[in-house]
Amino acid sequence: MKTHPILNTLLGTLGEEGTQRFLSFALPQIRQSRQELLASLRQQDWEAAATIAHRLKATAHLYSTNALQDSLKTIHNKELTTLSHPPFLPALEAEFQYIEQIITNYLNNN
Amino acid sequence: MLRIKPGCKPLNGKTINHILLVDDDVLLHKLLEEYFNIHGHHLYSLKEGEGIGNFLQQRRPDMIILDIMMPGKDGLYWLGWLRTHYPQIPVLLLSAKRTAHDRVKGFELGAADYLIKPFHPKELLIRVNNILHNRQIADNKLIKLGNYLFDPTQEKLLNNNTQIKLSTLESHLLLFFCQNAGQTLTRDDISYALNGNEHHPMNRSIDMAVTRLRKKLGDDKDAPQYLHTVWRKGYRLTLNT
Repeated sequence: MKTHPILNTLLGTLGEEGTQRFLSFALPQIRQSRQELLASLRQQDWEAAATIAHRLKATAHLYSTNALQDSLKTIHNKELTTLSHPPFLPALEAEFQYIEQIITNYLNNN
Repeated sequence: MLRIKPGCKPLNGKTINHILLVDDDVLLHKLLEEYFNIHGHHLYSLKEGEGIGNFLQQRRPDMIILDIMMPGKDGLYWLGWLRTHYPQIPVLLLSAKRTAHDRVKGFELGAADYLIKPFHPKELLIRVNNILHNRQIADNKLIKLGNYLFDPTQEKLLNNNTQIKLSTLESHLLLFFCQNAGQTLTRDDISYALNGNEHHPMNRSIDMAVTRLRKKLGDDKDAPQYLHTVWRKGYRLTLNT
């Protein structure tokens, strides 16, 4: 099965084995961060959400989509108009789940 | 376990560099641990600056990578603390802050370098290697010889991550030349320095060692950059070509 292109940078950086070890470690962390991030946004705790987004941004460019990276930037910058827009949260959750699925598929097939 | 990519040699003569990363991002820790391992560095991890003091009482890393934004006291506080208590350990700062003011503040406090998040691991590796490389030169462990670095302790020449092994005689001879760079050294001078006796005209070992050194330095016998023949006298080394 062909590897999804969003993982190519990571594969080029860590190689197959390093990528597997990193993603095995990262997947539960990403899930937990997603849950904490969504909870903070629902509670309108912008500061807590910005802190989580800031942390995720440091590595997200190596395993995620541009859409997720843009959303993390919006959260980190506390752009409240965008964050308060009703479709933002479901779109963010869907983007996270899409990436988690790509990682899961990669780990299951390698 | 340390994994080194085939064909990829560490930059310096040491087998492994020990680096302490202080950052509260566990994903970044894992990513850099994997990446640095491939490139011959061992990464130790702390999630907050409060553990630095205890860590340094037990181990002495070759350098520290320090995030500015951390829980508790921030990285700039710990940089100041390190400069006071462990001034010999170089520190590279990581930060999401992009303004020149923040970078200047970091450098004023004594940071060896500064990298803005997010970054590619390769960029960090290059900066880390540069810091370690400069530190070795500053520690006088390495002698700069044109495009080469000479490591007398490890008996090696280093050039663009390539290591050229020297024999003990070649290394002693090159060190003697480096210590007397720019001066014409007779075969007697060299023989006294290396063997404690005067040169015997039938003994060609010095000339042969010079020939081998020239070859390892990529020097042309007829137009040498480094090791010059001084007719009827001996040899002279030029350090900065």
